[in-house]
Amino acid sequence: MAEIQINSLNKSFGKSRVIKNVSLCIKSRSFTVIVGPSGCGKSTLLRMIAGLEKIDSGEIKIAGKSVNDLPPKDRDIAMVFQSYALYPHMTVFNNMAFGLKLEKKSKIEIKERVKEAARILQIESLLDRKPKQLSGGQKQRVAIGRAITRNPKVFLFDEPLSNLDAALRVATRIELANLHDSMPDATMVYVTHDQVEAMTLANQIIVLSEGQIEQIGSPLELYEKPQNLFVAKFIGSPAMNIIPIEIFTKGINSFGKIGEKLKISLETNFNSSDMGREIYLGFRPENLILSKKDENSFSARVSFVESLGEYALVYASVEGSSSDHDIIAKVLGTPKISKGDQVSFQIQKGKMHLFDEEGKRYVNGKKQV
Amino acid sequence: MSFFSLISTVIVGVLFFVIYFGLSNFILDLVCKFKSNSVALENSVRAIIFIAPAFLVLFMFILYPVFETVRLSFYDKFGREFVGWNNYLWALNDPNFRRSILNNLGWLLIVPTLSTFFGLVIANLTDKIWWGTIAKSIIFMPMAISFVGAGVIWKFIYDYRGTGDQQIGLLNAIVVSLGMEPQAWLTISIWNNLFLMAIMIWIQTGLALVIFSAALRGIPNETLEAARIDGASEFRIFWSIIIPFLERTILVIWTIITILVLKVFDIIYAMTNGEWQTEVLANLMYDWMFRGGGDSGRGSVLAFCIMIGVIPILVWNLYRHRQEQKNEI
Repeated sequence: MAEIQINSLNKSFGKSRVIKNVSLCIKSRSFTVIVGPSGCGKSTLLRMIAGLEKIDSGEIKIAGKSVNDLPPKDRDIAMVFQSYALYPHMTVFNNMAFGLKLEKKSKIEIKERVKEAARILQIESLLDRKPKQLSGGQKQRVAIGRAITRNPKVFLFDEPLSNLDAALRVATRIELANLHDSMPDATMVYVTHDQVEAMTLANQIIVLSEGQIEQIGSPLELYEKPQNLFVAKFIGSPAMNIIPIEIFTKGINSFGKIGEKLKISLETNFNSSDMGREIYLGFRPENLILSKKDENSFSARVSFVESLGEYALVYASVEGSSSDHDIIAKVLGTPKISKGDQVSFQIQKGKMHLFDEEGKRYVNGKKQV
Repeated sequence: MSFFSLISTVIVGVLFFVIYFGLSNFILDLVCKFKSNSVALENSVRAIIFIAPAFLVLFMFILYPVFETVRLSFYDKFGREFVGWNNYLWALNDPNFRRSILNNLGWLLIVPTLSTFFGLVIANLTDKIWWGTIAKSIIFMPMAISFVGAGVIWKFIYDYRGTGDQQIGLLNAIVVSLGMEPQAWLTISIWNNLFLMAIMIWIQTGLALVIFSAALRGIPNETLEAARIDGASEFRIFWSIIIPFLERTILVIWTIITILVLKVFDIIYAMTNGEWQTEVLANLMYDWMFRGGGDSGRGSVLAFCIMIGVIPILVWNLYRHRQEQKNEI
């Protein structure tokens, strides 16, 4: 049981505020991913949980106990670093045993626990090697092994896959997911800038931007109901299409217009007071369907097609507006479309996302709280 | 006028070498154009051409004197009559020689070890405080002082005036203010060697400190943090992570200071001139070679002994250097 509770946490480096009044709860036994663009403060947040960075104000509790004044070693945590941070002069065995030796465990127990971790990570044959004789992937396994042997309540991962090549990254990602399954009692906190890692590993994602939490939720929640423009754009690849739209008619099925000619049904209820407001319409590339021209479709001119076999990415600009809006559509198969074509798109029913002027999500004409 | 002649000497010298390298290279190119035998041969000839001047200078000023020293060590004090092993036999039975060997061994054990130790510890400590840079500059400063200069400064520290007189030596001033008897520090046998070594340590700690400070920067912060999370205390991190990390640097500094200490001369010369059993090989050599009419035979024996002492360290250094290069490939 190791819930991490963070209450109004603040941190500044000099004049720049890196973490701004962050409060959150990381559930026990969860795999929580903190994701955000570089410089958003996610690593700093993790290092504060680890105790490597001092807290300006606020409180961090691990398993109900305030750890503000505890040094890292007394927090019952282990951390895996992006650069592996292995001890270069020690063998793999000693790297993994270092923490246990400091805990003054018996030699037999150390040997057993290191062997067990090595077995889980399939690095038994590497135990006598030095780090410089290992490949990047092997080094990262040792780093993870070093964390496992200590059997902590909380595992902290700081972009552990960033230094690996693409293929290895995918393989290690799956192993990390399996690792969490095999250690159901451990709470894992994982920092990354890669939203694919976040989506595949997490059962809870925290999206961070400029030191503030944008949204906390399960991967699918974030994908299907982004609470604001930032999350909408950040989660999903290619990113969600966002175009400004003016509320045009009121009632159960309000229309919005882009420029003069183009009108789209917004599937939402707007009041007369909303008329003329400029809001944002978002839709994911895969929710666009090529369709015939009818009243719910809009036309666009294709500017580029990336055909990947399984699907094609169609880059197009929406017409009928004063300034063109570029959108991306993900079309399954190999559509017979080429540059310069005029095509009609429809947005799948129920797949629209509306955001107000400040970028907050609208549901049924009301701002989501 | 002398300034002008200096400039012209430099110009002539540089010109000579420009012409030498340019011309020999040009001739080699020309020869190879007509007789394109093998690239390997051409390369080795070119190497010889470029190394030759440096080798010549090395030979004249280092290799030749070595051979001449060895030769002289078998001749009498004027370098005229062959005396066989007599000079060596003399050295073996000379109490001053034995004393110097002992003292040199003491210097070798204590000075490099303590300088390296202090340098390492201070580098590590000054890294953690805001006034570390100031502290480092102050500790590094003695490096800028010549050994003789340092000797003069420390003469004032160890200075002794008779009891009842005003003590102008710093050490004695302290001792007297504590209510104890002033001492003639440099005459207290055995201990006085340590007092002399303190000067060398005072100077060389700065060198070790600066190099260690730079090397410390090379230790990735994340490795230290990983150790901290693993539960290591700061002392344990220093012992188990930092020292193994700096192993190469420690050896380099230790050898640099060891070689320097083997040749220690200036400090002894300026402070005690080998009196009160503080004699070391270099000072003894100087004594025999240039004082009281000079004895080139015995002086050469002593010079040769110093060289024999340095060689193993040099060879070991070269060997390590080769090993490291091999490892990097």
